Amino acid sequence: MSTNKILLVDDEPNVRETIKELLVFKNYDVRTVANGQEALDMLEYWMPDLILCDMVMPVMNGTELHENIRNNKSWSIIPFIFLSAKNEIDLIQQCLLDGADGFLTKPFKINELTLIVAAGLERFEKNQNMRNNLQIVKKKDFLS
Amino acid sequence: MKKLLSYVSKINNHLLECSTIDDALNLCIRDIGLEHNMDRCYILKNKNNSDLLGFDYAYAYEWCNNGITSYIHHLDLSKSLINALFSLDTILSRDKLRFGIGKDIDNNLLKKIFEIRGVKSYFFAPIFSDNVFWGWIGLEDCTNERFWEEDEISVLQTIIKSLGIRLSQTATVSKLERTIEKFNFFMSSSNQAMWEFDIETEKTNFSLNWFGIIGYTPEEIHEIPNFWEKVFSAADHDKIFNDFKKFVSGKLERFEGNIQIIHKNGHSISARYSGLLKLNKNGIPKKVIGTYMDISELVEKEKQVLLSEAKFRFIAENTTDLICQHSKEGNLLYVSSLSNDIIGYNFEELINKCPWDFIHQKDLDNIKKYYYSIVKNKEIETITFRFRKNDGTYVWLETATKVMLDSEKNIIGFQTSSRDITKRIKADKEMKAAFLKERKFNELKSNFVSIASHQFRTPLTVIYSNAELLELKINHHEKGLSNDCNVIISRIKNEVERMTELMNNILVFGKQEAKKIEKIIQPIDLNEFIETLTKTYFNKDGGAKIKVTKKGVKRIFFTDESLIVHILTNVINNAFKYSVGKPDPELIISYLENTIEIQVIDYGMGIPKKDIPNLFTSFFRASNTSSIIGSGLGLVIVKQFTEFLNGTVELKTKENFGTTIKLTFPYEHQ
Repeated sequence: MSTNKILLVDDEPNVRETIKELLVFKNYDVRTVANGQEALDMLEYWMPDLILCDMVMPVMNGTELHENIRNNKSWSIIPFIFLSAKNEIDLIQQCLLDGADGFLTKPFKINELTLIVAAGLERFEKNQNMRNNLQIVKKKDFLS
Repeated sequence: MKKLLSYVSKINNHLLECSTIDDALNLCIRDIGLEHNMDRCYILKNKNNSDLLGFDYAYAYEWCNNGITSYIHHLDLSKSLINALFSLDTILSRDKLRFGIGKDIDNNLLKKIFEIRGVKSYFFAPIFSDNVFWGWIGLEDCTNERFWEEDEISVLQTIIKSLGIRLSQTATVSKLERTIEKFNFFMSSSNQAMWEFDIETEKTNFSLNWFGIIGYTPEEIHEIPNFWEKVFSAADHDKIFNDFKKFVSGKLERFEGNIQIIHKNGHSISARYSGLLKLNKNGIPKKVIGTYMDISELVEKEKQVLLSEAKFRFIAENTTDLICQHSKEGNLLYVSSLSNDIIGYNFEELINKCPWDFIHQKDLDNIKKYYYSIVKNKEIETITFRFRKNDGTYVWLETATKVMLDSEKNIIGFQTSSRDITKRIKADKEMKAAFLKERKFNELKSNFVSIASHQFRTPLTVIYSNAELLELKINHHEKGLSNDCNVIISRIKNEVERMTELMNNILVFGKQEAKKIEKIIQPIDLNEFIETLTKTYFNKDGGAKIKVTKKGVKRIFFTDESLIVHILTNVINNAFKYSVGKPDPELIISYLENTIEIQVIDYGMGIPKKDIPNLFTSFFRASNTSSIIGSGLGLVIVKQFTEFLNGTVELKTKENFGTTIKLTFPYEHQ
């Protein structure tokens, strides 16, 4: 089984480093950037299996990055999980309705993080399998 | 001829001797009738006594011979005669007589009247007095148709002229009498008495109304010895008599003045006297004519006016309000002495000035509306406005204005009462500002918990996660554990520090907002103070150092030491924090004439332009500082504490070039 790639987006260096280390410890391939714009730049050449993203950041915030990803065909299936100090119920619901795969409120336990990441990755895998199967079916149709 | 002369002189005697004109005319018509063997002699008087007003006759006098019917009381017939005479041309008939046989007259009406009255012969002549048509005299013979002799006619003409002369004399006399009567009436009802001094005879005549003024009749004035010494005070007496002598001899140009006269009843009268010199044809003084006027009432009124004026002044000068009187054009006529205290001007500086010239431009429109409203409604109204004081500053006045009206309700001026309400306005403003601040603070407070908790979450995340990480690693006995642990522990320490700073600032900020901070002002040596501060907190061995420069002559600075510590540690801390790897920051103390300036300059990252307006907002952090630990409260505290110490904060910054914070304080806190 290949190592899953995770993109961590957070403007706080200590947060970035700590979460990165936790996930690395759990055998994930983690890359970090400091804001939404840097994340979009990274996606151009490095495709993660999951994105963990802070909400309040300079230059481009988490919500804007999420919208950009959902509107891009190549990136739209990447699971997107918010990691935020905000904990208002209304905001969390809105993010999930907009298509986020999860919302984790800071501070969190390492178990919560690993569970939500694992769930996101599982969904991503299923989606990707479905997409592959669909492509196989399409190919078959074409051949027949 | 003799007979004629005695007839004419008899008539003239009647005219001259009879005391009344009625008696004279009645005797005259009797004698004329008898002399000319007439049966009736009568006079029809023109009641209008003027040609211009037309004629309106009265059958005024009549004499009838024995056995002849009198018509003076016969209304119809006398009226008919009068009507008939209307038709005669009176004006043009001056000296033109009408006489003849009754039945031959060419006037039908008169012919009929003559028939009724049994007139055989008639004679009519107009009477003129002072060239004005006075009336008709009529003679009737009821016995014979007679021929009128020329002599007889000329005698009648002479007699009728005499009647006219007597009538005109009577008119003149009665006119004179009326004039005298009027004069006496006016004199007696006036408060002026007249006197006339004959210089030659040295006799004085006094008009009747002396009695009305001083209670003595003119006769008493003459009869009472040393009369004037009795009614004048000694000083007045001497002055009047000396002045009079000088006046008569031409040494004094005018003879006039005010004196006190003692009335017969004993009370005192204020009088004004004056005299005029009358010269004869050769220019030599002949008479002095003068008047005494009772001015007691006037003097009394003047006294009352003075008294009420004094009352008004007393009230105006002793009230805490500024009292003014204005002309109807608005110019100041009277200003109470408080003007100096309230608006800084003396009475003389304001008199005849228009107050509008002193009113703040922004209040002028309101003042004009106010003025028109008062003029229109004539009721007391109040307004507040700014008035320019002598020193150029403005004072807020609350003014009530009342119109002053004359007896016909015309505006003759305005009276105003103004009070200084600057303190009240200031207090109102401060209250409003305090209220707004309070509201803002309440809003801030209600947001505070959520903001603070959000701010706490990031450091807590790092602490918590690192703790867990540490735990994980220890459990797995990773290689290089001790190195890893050091890194992890340093992160925890950093975050704890950040948390501490945040907590400290929040607490200080909260105290300041709740006005719980008190100032303890004491003198400090700022040079020494800053040296200690930089040594203790910043200039540690091996690290960056802040360079301190002093300018100007050192002076003692009165301030609160602990607040200055908060301010300077925040500013210096920022200078270090945001200029890592750049040249060392600098601190310059400048002792200026009235203020002390502390500038902290760093050559670090600076602040993006768009962030500058929000720098002093709680929890705001510049967009280029995410990698640097901060609470977003430091500059807010710097500003609040500096202003609390009556100082100011200025910030100059350029992204990537650095930031200068300039703090300015007065030497002494007041």
